[in-house]
Amino acid sequence: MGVIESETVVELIRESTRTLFETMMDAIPEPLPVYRISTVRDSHESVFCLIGFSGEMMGSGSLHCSGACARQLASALLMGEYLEVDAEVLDAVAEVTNMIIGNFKTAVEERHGVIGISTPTVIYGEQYAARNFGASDWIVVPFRYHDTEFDLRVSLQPDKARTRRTEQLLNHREALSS
Amino acid sequence: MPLSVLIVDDSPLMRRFVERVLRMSGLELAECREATDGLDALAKIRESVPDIVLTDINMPTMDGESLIRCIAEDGDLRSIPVIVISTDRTEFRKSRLMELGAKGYVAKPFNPEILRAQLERVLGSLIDV
Repeated sequence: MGVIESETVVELIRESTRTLFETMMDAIPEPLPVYRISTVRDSHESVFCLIGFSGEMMGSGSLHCSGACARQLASALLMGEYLEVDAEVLDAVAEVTNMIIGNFKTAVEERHGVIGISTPTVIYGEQYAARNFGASDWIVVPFRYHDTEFDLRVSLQPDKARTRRTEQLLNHREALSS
Repeated sequence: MPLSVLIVDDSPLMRRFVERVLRMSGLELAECREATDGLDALAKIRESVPDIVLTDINMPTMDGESLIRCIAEDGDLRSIPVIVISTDRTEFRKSRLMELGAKGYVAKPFNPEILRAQLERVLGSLIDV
């Protein structure tokens, strides 16, 4: 299984995000310029929702936004008004992330083989840092939504150890049969 | 005829969302009950049989796939139609669940029109149009 191109990641994330907002939410977010990072550092109130990938490709996908944006996402999804970031707002962010990353995963699977995803983990607070283990950066795909912003972050690489194990197994079988 | 619906999802938020979408779709609901997983759903189905079950797939204790299998294998329950609501859009997964006995499949994201179309297709004349 080959490496997935950054342009493909960006295209699929934008498409998945647009589909979700077109179908379930109140407005379509405007895509902003893409960039790369290896560490998330936040000193303001923010929400970070993380989903892990495993299988033919491994890594993670996440949504990062301010508390105000999280409240707007929950309001649009549940048609209510949220004055603070409570458990329901965090669940709404988790569900939005799950749908965007889930549909992204399905699209990637068509080209790169079966990928499993974990249940979302949501982190809410101030003054935290999150780092991507290993060498790969997150591709950050930001959007403007009403008067706030959110971004999707993806890190996805072929599972080299898995590929190596499969090759070893095939070589072993070939040796046994010859 | 007003419908009796059982929504099965481990997320309280999604249960609420599905109920809201159901009401927005214009369908007349007699009752809308909730279950948190497959096991809870089976208990609620045995208390009172719904017209239709709308279920998620990935849930703790008993997942949606096992719930569909249990309903299909039970002579008293197998006539209850089950519609799956899932983020997983893969054809393989959809075919597998339909083979197990699901009557419909709604991929997230979805809106009232999409859900209503599936319910009309599965329930046909049971629904007041």
